[in-house]
Amino acid sequence: MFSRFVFLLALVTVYFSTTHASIGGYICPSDKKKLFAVLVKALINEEGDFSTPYYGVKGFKLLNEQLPTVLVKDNCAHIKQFYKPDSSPEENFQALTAWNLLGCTGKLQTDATVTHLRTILENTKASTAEIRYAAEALKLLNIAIPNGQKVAQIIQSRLKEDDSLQSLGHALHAAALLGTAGNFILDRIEEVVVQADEVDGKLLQWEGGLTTTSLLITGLLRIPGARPLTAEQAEKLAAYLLTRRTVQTSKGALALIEAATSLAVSDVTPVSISIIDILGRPLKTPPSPVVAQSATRITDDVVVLSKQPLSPGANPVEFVLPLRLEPGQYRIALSAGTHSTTLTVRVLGPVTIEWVQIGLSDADGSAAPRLTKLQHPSKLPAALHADSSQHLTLKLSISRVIHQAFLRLYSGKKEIIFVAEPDSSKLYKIDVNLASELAHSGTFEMELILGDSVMSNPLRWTLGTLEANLNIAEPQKKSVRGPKPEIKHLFRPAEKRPPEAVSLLFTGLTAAPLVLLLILWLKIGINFGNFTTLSIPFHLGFGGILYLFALFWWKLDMFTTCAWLIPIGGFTFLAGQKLLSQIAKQKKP
Amino acid sequence: MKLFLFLICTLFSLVRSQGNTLVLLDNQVIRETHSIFFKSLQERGYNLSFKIADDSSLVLSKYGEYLYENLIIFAPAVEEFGGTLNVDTITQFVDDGGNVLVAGNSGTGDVLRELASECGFEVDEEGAFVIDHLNYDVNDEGQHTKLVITPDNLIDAPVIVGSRKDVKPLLYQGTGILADPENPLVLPLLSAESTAYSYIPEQAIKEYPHAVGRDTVLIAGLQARNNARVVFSGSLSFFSDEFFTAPVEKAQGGVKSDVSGNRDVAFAISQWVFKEHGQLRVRSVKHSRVGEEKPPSAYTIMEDVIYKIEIDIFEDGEWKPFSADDIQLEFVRIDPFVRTNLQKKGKQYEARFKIPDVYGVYQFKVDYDRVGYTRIYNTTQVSVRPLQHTQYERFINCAYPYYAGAFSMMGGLFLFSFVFLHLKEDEVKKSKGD
Amino acid sequence: MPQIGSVISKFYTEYNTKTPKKLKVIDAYLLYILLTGIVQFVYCCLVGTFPFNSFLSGFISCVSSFVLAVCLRLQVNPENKSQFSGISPERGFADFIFAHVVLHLVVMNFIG
Repeated sequence: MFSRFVFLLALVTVYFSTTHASIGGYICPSDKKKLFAVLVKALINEEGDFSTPYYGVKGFKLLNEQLPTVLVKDNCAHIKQFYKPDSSPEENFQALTAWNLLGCTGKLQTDATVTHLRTILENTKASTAEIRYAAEALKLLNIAIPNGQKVAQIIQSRLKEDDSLQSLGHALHAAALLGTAGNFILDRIEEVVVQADEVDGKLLQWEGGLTTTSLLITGLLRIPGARPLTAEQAEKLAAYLLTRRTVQTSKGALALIEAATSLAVSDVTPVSISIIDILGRPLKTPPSPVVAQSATRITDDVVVLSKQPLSPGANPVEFVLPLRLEPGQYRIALSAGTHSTTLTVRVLGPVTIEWVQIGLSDADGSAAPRLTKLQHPSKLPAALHADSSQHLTLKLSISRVIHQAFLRLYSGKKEIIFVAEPDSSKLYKIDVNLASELAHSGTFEMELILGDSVMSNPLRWTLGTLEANLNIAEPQKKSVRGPKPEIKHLFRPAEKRPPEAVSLLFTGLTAAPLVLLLILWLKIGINFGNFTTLSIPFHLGFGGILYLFALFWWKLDMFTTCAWLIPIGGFTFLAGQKLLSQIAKQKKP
Repeated sequence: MKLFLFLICTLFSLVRSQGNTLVLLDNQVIRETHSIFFKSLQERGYNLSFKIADDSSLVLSKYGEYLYENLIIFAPAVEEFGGTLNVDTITQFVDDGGNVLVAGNSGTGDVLRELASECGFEVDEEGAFVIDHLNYDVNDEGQHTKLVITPDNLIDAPVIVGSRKDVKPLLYQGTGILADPENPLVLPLLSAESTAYSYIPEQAIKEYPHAVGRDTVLIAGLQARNNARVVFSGSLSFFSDEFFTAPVEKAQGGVKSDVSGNRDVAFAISQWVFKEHGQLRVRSVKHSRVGEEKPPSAYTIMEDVIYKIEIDIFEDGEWKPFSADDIQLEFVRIDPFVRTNLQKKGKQYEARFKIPDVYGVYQFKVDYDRVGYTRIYNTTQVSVRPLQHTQYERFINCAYPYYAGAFSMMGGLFLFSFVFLHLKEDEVKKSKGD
Repeated sequence: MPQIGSVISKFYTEYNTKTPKKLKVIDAYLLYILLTGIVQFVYCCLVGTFPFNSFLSGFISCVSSFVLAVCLRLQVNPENKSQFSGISPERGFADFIFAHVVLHLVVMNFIG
């Protein structure tokens, strides 16, 4: 069922009309609160100059806010302490203005001040900024500017040398203060306006950012009798100012406030129109009878109301248009006196779900799908068990077409989302081929997500559980960037050794045949009949060689052994040769 | 003298700046609407050069040297970069080690889309927003595109996005990004909720949305193999003064905060992408036999070896010792033979192990690759030789029989020579025909 | 069977009477070497080849000593005088000693 009584949003998008400028947005209370915070910071942190107290105090004054008394006292004292009559015109102007606005007791300026300021105005080398501030300061002190024509000439000659935007801006202000003597500036207005840069077709600003733009806006609008800006230009300048609502410096904050204030009181003031409900309230007032000329539904261009006047609300700035509309987007043409504009309005409404049918069907369509009908917010009583040949089917019947109708299957952190599409009868259908869509088997929770920009009750509805048995293995876990497992090298195991006893036994056995040898020789009957003393050197030498070899095994290396072997071996060779030749000789006869 | 040197060093470390950064904007208004972000960068020592993106005098390098270390592109609608800049030169800049921070929005132009796909991200088409009908802010303008993102959708890596626990809810309004899931270098820094999707709000959904659910990446990051970092945010307003100072409240209820957490996360991301955080380097590597000071010309198998490494992290403008408990050392000859954890001892990390009994040419390899940190890959090549012939075991118990045999032979030989030489043969009395 | 017994006993008596003492000395020496070698081989079969170089060294020492002693026996045997016409038995003994020196140097180096 469609809802009859609907809510309206505070402010959506605003389209421009050709008659009068309209902007999207305004400096609302929360923006003002932020600007105050910036200005208060300036008033508390004093750095020995007058600019920050000036910005803070002027900003407060322009927005009609009261300063806390302790800040007033502190700043008065601060200004008094640092004021010098011969400080620059800008400092003079700032100090005097701040003094004035704070309502500090006593007079800050002295005669020296006045003389100093007058001297500036006669100085042909003074910059336009200095001239302007000197003139402003004198005006504050209610002293007439001496010799306005001369000052005008000085300004003009200055502009010939330096016609940057800053210089022109100050010149505009100064000329405005000179009365008729300042009429020369009217020729320069065009030049100033033409130098503005358009950004994205929506904003207009001058190079140099917020402070320069503000200086030029306030300057242009200050000149009496001039119409420097068209409505379209004013609207684009205002749009630029609105993008700077979150400025963080006190100088910027004051620049913003001054520019916005001067635009607001000009005759090209951009107008912000808002439709109200319980939430916001507008800053600017639409002046005269407010009539809704027509309201057209955007999707099919059907006009749903026309020429309906708005009745006054509780507040002089409030006007109420009661709407009985179905949810959707509408274009409303409004006129308020001579201003008119077109607004896009969203009408929200709840969506009712009539029913959902969910279940499994076979891939080849052989059997009828077994679907269970569910009402919101109930769940399926039991889990659905599916295998790789089956499809998951969902049918959804709701009261109107919505943007987002998704089915979400999730398991732990992994999720897969399917989009439901409506057919001509507003019935949404999804058919999921489980084998090809799901990456792995497992248990999945099923959730329906419904949402739309004009749906006031977006919802997530858990439908039940699906157990899919698809014969697909769990996928490989992706490598995680973390420490890898430790590896300890497996050394080759040492060879098995026999027990010591066995070794010793066999050592004995190996040595045993030597004993046997001696016994056998004795049995054979050895004698030393051919013993000669000549054989002694040979035996000694030979024994020495064998002993050397034993030492070699014990502790020597090959080099030492060979070194020793040469003399011993040589000796043994000679001795042996002698011995053997003697034996051979003995055998002969 | 030492004090003097110390003073000079501190002076250098104070004077050291963070680097030249080129900031490309669509128009000068962006510089003012994002003043808090740029001011914070300038306060941290970055030298920012603001230029319009299609300025014809843009250059990244001159005479072969880069003029900038970092590049910020806050120009979503740019059709074509001016000067010598284009997608190829920017990719080359990243290949040569430069860091890039890009922010788009629903009107992202094709040039940025192409740049993003070079880095492994797919940006949705022009006009698309990330929409979430259940998680939008009360100050949303009606299309449910100004989203409230809870901090648990941030990547779990404090070095990139700061600690997730202290961050307030985030505001986001922009386009959706898809990160290639197969690419191991891409990091989804901020993802959307399961109910989000990226589509053109006025169009009915006829085809599958570009990004759906948790796969929708809102801010994507990449650390290339040469440790250059790229961050692509789908929302330029994420970094704006307005979002930094705005209060957050979910229209459907449940989350409320006086001020968004965008500032903290944006600052943390800028610190990561410009290498103030998470930059590591190896200060020194030492290895030797246990008990010795200098490394030998070659190790022998089965020796005990000790390996020491010092790793620094760049923190608060200077290099400080890094501390972690999961750095590992590998001893590799084609495949790793030994892999062991390094223990922190004082300022160094140290590992002791026994060299395997396989000889060859090995490398001491430290490969530390964690999310958000630069990759450390340090190898030292050493040779491992087999035992010298004098290093084998001698006088083995079970060889005693063989020793006995050999000595017995020698002894027997000596006795034999003695006996044989002096043996007197018996006279042959009997005749042959006996 | 009984033939083998009588052959063996005849061989034994012939050996005892006919063989010169020198040769018998060498034969006893040969037997000793043989037994030493066998013991080492059996040991290796029992416990494995662990210090393989030591086993080879000890065993080869026995085998080579045996071979050299056999060569000496051949050269010294008076019945073979005609085959070694230019080489006297003393020369054979000198070669025998020289070969042994080389053998034992190598064995000591390799035995470890």
